[in-house]
Amino acid sequence: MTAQQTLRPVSEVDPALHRARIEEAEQRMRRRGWRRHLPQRGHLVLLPLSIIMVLPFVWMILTSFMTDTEVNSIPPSLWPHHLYTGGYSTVLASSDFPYWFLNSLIVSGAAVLAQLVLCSLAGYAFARIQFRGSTVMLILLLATALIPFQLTVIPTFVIFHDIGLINTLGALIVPQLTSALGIYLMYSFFQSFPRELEEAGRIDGCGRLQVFWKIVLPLARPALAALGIITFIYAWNDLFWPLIAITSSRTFTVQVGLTTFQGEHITHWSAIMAGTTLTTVPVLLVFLVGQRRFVQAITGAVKG
Amino acid sequence: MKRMVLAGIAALTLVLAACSGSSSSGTSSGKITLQFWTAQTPPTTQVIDNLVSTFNATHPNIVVQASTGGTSTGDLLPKVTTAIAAGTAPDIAYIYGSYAANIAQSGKTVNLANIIHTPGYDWNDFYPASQQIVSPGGKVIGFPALIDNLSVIYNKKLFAAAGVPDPSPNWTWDQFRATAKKLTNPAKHIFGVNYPIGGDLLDTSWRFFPGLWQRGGQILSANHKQALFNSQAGVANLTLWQQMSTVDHSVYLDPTATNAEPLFTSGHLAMFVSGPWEVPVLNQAKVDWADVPLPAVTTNHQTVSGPDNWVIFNNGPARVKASITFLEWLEAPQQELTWSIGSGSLPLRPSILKLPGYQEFLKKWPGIGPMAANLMNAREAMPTLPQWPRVVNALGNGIASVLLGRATPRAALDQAAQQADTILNVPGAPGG
Repeated sequence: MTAQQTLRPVSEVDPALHRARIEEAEQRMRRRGWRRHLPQRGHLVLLPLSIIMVLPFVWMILTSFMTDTEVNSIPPSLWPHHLYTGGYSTVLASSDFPYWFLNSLIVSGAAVLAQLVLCSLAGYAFARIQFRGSTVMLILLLATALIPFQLTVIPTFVIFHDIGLINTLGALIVPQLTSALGIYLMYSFFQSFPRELEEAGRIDGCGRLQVFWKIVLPLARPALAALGIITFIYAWNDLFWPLIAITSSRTFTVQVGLTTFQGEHITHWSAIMAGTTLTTVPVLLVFLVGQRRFVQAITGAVKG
Repeated sequence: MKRMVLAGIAALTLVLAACSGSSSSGTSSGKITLQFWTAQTPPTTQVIDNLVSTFNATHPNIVVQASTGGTSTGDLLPKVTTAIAAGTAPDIAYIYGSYAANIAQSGKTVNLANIIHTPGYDWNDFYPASQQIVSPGGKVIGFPALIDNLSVIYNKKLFAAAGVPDPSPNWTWDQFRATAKKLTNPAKHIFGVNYPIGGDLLDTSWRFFPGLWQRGGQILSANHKQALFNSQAGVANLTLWQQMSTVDHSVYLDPTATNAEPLFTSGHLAMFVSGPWEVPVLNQAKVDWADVPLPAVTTNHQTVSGPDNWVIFNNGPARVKASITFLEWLEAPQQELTWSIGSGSLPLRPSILKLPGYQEFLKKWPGIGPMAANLMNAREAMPTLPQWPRVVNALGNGIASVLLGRATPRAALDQAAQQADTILNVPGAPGG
């Protein structure tokens, strides 16, 4: 796979002309850079849209610094009258929030790791390996995504109880080790992946797993990033199953923990918004870090 | 690569192993461990956790493991039903009174009918509404957990500004209507009183019952097979609210059942028909408020209560016995007083009002005294039957249509009664 590249001797190029061309290119790039930052017509649409998208987050943060009375005032307060931090102290000092946060990180991290490995292997197998019944298996696999979880919750609960995982983080991790959506996402990506690259590797003597590991996976980063983000957000936001499977406060995930601030008649909005603000940060970070890859994967781009 | 995959699998296994602690409960080494799902929010969770710690310290043979059970009261129900279906029910759980009959139908609850007259249980020291709610179909499925009632909370400043004198505890519905009308000020966006017509329709229905009972009406027949709320008493009761809503325009019709509280604390609602759960909110908002019993037709100020229960699940005789021991201790007057002081809940037993420490409760929760005294007016409970949630939905929709001016009280109540009769007479109908 190594290639010898032949470069033209520098002596054949006039140094003055070369410098002039470089300066001209740099000036052109600088001008383009400026132009790139100038408002375009599309921004007239994008700017209001982005404000609409950001507004709930801003509202959430502002509300987290209001007292419950301010939150409930009519007409509503747009700004906190003073910086009230009681919501944050309630969440951080009077509840098991640090445990909830750590638990969510463990569950989401384990789910992402497992799905990246297992879904990419399964997706690659369905896309590249011909075996009897592969199409039927893939369809059956995708069909499982159509069954609402509410239908299977009791058998799932019984199984996890029988294997002793109820009220443990294991009960939250195991169901997310793989997913039909993740396998299909990777399968779609590998189907559009150029076979020539794999064949080149095979010619150079790589086995199938080596090709997968050394050639396919490095080029599948956009799809893996998308899968990772989707899995992380789903695992982080999951409420229904953790609500059923977990009982002890210190084993809650953040989403379950936050529901405990809502009672039969009273809702502690300040604490809920403070907790939600703290909870949203990791999701935003994951998305911001991986958004370029995410967009690439969603648009189906393969860059080598 | 193989090493990395193996390392990944090993790491995952370790995470799972680390996460899988023992959640077992039962009997081991002579000690009985009980799972106690409290469904409380953080401030009151601490109070109940402290009580449980005290119990565990003084009862060496029983270990109570308290947890919220996962979430607040409403969301706890699907969790409990899943646990029952899976055969892993907790020993004790906090369950809404309106779901008592459905839970009792599971076959997993106990029947304490034969022990309720023992000294520890002290059955007659619970309010009648609590006694009825914890006994669906005559089966005593646990202990009362909470009692409340409806009264009229009013904003003293708005009364003074409108030149209206504070209501008398002996007031009538006619005076109530006239007061609401005087306090209504469209220019200042002030309503006289609230009525929820959306969200949880149980909330819509249960405000209808006091006026029905006061006029001699009943909700259902004694055998729970026929709706009786469309009697003349029911029509007269709903007509009053209809007139207030569609003629006087003095009623804020709350579409979500959650708007009235912020309207009241913001000075846009003069009278607020609500209960003791509002006390901490009102005091925190520094509203100048007071409360009086519901008005009477003549002299009967009967109100309604929505008690909740500690339900005991049958996980074997030893654990049931331990659960009873724990709840008898928890509900003894002194512990109950501690719970009331810490949580702001009304005392479960009339005898608590006579304890010396009761004054501390009144001092900590200003304004709650009349609500506790009003428990004597909560003489009847709503029916407890599996179809109840669907019956109140039918009635709630009827009430809402009347208050919105879309139907007459007679027509709406007759239609709701017809629907209720159908629901009540379907053999083995689910509770919805």
